[in-house]
Amino acid sequence: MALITLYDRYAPTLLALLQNILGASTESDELLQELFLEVWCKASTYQPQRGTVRAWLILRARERGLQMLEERDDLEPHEPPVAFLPPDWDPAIHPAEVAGEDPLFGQERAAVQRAVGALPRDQQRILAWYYFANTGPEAATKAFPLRPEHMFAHLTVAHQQLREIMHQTRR
Amino acid sequence: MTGHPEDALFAYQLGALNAEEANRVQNHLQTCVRCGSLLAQVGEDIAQLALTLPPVQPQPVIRESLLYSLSEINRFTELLAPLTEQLGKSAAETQTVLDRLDEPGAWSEGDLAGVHLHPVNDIPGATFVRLTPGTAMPLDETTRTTVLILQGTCRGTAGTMHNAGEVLQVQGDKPFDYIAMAGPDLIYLSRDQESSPS
Repeated sequence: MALITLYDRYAPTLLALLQNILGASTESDELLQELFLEVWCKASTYQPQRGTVRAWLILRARERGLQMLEERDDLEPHEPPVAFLPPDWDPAIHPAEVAGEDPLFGQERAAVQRAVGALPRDQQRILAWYYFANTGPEAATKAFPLRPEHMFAHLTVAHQQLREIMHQTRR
Repeated sequence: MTGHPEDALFAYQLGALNAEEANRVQNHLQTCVRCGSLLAQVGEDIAQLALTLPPVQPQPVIRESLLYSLSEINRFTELLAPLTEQLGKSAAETQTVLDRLDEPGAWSEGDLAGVHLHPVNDIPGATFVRLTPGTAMPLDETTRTTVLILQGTCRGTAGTMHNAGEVLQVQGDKPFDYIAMAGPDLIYLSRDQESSPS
């Protein structure tokens, strides 16, 4: 079944993303399953001219994860890791390839990690916050005491720096 | 922000623009094909960033549960009305036909690679066809065929894209007129017009 092929290929990436947004919880597991059911039911709406299946899945997972984060009314909300790379990240001690995974996937991951790792710390922090924790303008104001135009500039420069490396490595 | 908002697309896709700017970009995207294409590229960039994270293997129970849930749902239910019209059956009968599409062994291999078929038993000339991406729609050169797309996208003559829910009147007078695009398999109901009741 086509959906299970997609699941086997992308579920580990999507679960890593959801756990970064929501924490390693049953919520992340349940959302992963819901996401694939949604994909199955809405497969007819996928339009290749709007992007690859991989991008469709990852962008939808991020959107659903952030929605769920925003809907939480915990007094002490989960603090997501809000980082693409661990603070002690070093390509020599953090191999990108994972046992059993398509090796080309690991090569792409290593290249993207290097690209993100080359960004200045401030840009990494802002990019990661918007990626994993963006629950709206109020939360952004609390997280960063920067004027919106400065945030925008940080994101734009980060994207320009990442883009070249990412396009070269994309599968 | 004036003209094409290329520089704002990354922040837009990340949800980092304020409401006024986001609306402006959204309105622009509704009419600008070029920026729509750039947004797709930005979406690929943003998706690729997720690869920085070490993958997490889900518990096997999630996969098992997903398989069970898939056996309980039919993803084509939204297209019940146009299918009912095409098949000339009642809604309940059409639903039964749809349910069979997801049964194991429902599809048999066609004569061409990448083509699978599921004939509708009691309707001559009516067949569900499943094409893997990149496969051309097998068309009879002499027969006009009505095609109702249930899933996926195909590129037709002159590069036009056709999506689920669309009905096409096609004739196989040129090879490779309609090709299944990347993504989920293209699934459609094919009905020879000569076999259709008038």
